[in-house]
Amino acid sequence: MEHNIQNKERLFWLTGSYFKRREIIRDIKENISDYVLHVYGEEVSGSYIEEQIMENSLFSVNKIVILNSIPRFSNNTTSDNKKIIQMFSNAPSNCFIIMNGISSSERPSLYKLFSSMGKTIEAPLYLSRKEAITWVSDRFDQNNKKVNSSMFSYVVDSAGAEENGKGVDVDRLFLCLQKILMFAGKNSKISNDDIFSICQKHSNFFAWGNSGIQETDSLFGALDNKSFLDASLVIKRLVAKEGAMAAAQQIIPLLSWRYRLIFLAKEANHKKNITNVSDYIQNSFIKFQKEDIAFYVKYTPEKNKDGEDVPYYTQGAINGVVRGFYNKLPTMNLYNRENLYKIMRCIYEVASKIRTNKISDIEILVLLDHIILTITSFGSFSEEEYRLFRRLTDERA
Amino acid sequence: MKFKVQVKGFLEGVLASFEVATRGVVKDFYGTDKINIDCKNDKIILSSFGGRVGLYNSLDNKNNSFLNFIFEAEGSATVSAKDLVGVLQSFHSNETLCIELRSSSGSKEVYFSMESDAEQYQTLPCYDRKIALPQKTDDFSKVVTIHKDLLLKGMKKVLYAIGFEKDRREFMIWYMTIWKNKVRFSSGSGARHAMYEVEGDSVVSSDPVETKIIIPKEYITILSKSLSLTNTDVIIIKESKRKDTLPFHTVLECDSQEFILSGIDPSLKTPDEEKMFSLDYPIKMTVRIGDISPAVMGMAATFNDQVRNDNKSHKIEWDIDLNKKEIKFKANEYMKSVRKTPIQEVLVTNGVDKINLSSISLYLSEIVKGENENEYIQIEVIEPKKPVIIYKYASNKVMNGSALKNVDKVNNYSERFITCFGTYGT
Repeated sequence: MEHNIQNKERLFWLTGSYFKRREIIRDIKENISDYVLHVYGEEVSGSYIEEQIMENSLFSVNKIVILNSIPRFSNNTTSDNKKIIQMFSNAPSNCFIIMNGISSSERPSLYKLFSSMGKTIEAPLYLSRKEAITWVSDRFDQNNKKVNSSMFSYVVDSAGAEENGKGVDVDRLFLCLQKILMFAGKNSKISNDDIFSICQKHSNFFAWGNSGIQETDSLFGALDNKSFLDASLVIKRLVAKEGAMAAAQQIIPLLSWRYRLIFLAKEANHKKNITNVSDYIQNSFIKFQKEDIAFYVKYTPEKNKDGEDVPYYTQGAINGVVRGFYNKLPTMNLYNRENLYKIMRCIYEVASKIRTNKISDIEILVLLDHIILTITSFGSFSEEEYRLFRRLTDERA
Repeated sequence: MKFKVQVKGFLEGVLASFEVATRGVVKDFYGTDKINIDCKNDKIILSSFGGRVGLYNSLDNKNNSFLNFIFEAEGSATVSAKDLVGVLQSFHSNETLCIELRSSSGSKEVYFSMESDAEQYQTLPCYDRKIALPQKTDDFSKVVTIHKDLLLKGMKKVLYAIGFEKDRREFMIWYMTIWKNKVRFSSGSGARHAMYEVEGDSVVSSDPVETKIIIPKEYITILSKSLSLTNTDVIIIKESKRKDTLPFHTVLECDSQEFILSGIDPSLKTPDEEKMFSLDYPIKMTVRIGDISPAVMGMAATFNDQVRNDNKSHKIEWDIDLNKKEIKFKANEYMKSVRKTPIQEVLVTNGVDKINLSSISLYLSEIVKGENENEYIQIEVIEPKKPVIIYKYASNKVMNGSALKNVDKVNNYSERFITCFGTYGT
């Protein structure tokens, strides 16, 4: 029994999150002050590992042997398991062996044998959003960093909070935290701006849709969430990168394309004679190409390589609007017809202003803000406010 | 670019650059197998950089008596190192070559024509892009001056023990520790460690006086070969500051060459050798090398293909009988071997009369390999689990380890060689 207790203190099988395992190994190293480190993977045989375990260290009393794969002696799993367990049992008392990152399901028979003689530690791969927020808070405390507590959830969201349905990926969260800590350096206080600069995606990266990325980091995601702040941040980054006019020229046609699709879907959904909205949109709205023939112009439907008409909206885009992605609501359910009418009118109004008048950067930003406000605040501009705004911008232009 | 040179001198100069460009290079690195030839008014500059070691190699008539360089026109070309050596080796060493850069149909070629008969020539196509040598700082934290022959000896003596496990970087290094008038060259795999120490007036000078130079294994294999091809007596080793604007690097300066070692990890640490010396070894014995040789041969005979195929280390047991003054070396593999070696003198301070230990057989054969059979080694042991230390240049009498040295009267210095290894078993 005594021997078993000793084994429990020097034989470890770690599974799960990479960074959590790294932390555990660091703790083990800190507890064993004087040691030499051996790290082995698939490239060496089980016999070689056995020899290294048995050889007495030249420069240190203790030895830590980290095994990144199951030692291989032969092609027979059963006899290999027996040899591995024997090797671990015969290891000198000053030799600490860590099976690192090998899934328990890789060889359950060995894992079962090991768990009776050593310590098995399963580090979670995912945390719930609530646990992740506490985890982030604890890490900032451990590193003596003062951070506004409202930012913890932002850090967690930037690591992909529960986007896959399993929870927050601990390794991604750890990397995100490392980025913040390295950015902060020796400063004990980390400002909200620091968090924004690190946790946002790269400043050169602009996402319109929200497939596979943070909703708060994509323009459409932010607009659908009715988050004026997040949508403004995306636009602010694009304006900083490309300038106000170029940003507007990219954003406005895109919004026009999207909200026209939602508007069409909404209208089609209300018509009783249309049984399948997706098919209706895909088949009714097709792309045309221009042909210049002598003195007249002819438009013909654009064909793909199979000779079929090319739809104006792709199946994916229509599905997102009509049926919704994964467990998300269909986008058309997020807007009512009146909102959509106001949004469309606002987009066209702004587009015509930007196209027809000489306009300053500040005015472009005001016009873009106007679109975002209209979309995110459900048309909170009353007709009167809207007329006032239009008159003001007309006068300034 | 146009100049004339004698093949012998030019080839001698090219070989060091060739080694740097082709040996231990970084895979897919642009400089691999490339040499820049830069012809100036009074010299030819060859530069090569295989990703680890960069070499600035200046050839002129002063430092190379067989070069016979005659300048005709300035210019530069980048060519394949292997092809350049191949072209030069295809001519007689006494031949004088006229080397000229020519352009034909948009591409450039270097022409190597014989002065004696211009109709006989070789050509070598050029690369479009030159090799850029790593940048070098002017502000160094360490400067060590040492004789080339001593440096090369220091590499050769201990490199056999260097580590081989890629994840144990602290043992994949060769290093020299410098004190006033004393230098120690070391390397080890963690399981065994070799140290060669030289002491004498002006064997080494250093700023700061006590310091350490660490060179990783990938670099030392390039250096040991290419340094031997240089035409110099003294080498100045410089190490950049760890917090410089440029990445950390080490420079080895010869008369007309400059090796720049880039990409070395400045955080590399060396094992604590003093631990070996600070241990108290209660059992000390001297053995004649010629008496160990038969045991080594006996062990070697048991290390057959079957043992090799098992992919296991070949181990031997040392049954040391201190009363009988005898070591019984035993191998117990598919073939067995028992061989006896007499001990010349024993000094025991812990009252033990017998001790058994086990080690890898290679460690024993390394001790006697290439040594004079009439010389002695002193073996010092603590207990079966603890390291064994062996001093070369011993006598038949047991002495204090620090006194075991060989005086080299020609070079006017004394040398020590110490090796230690870990034993096996619990």
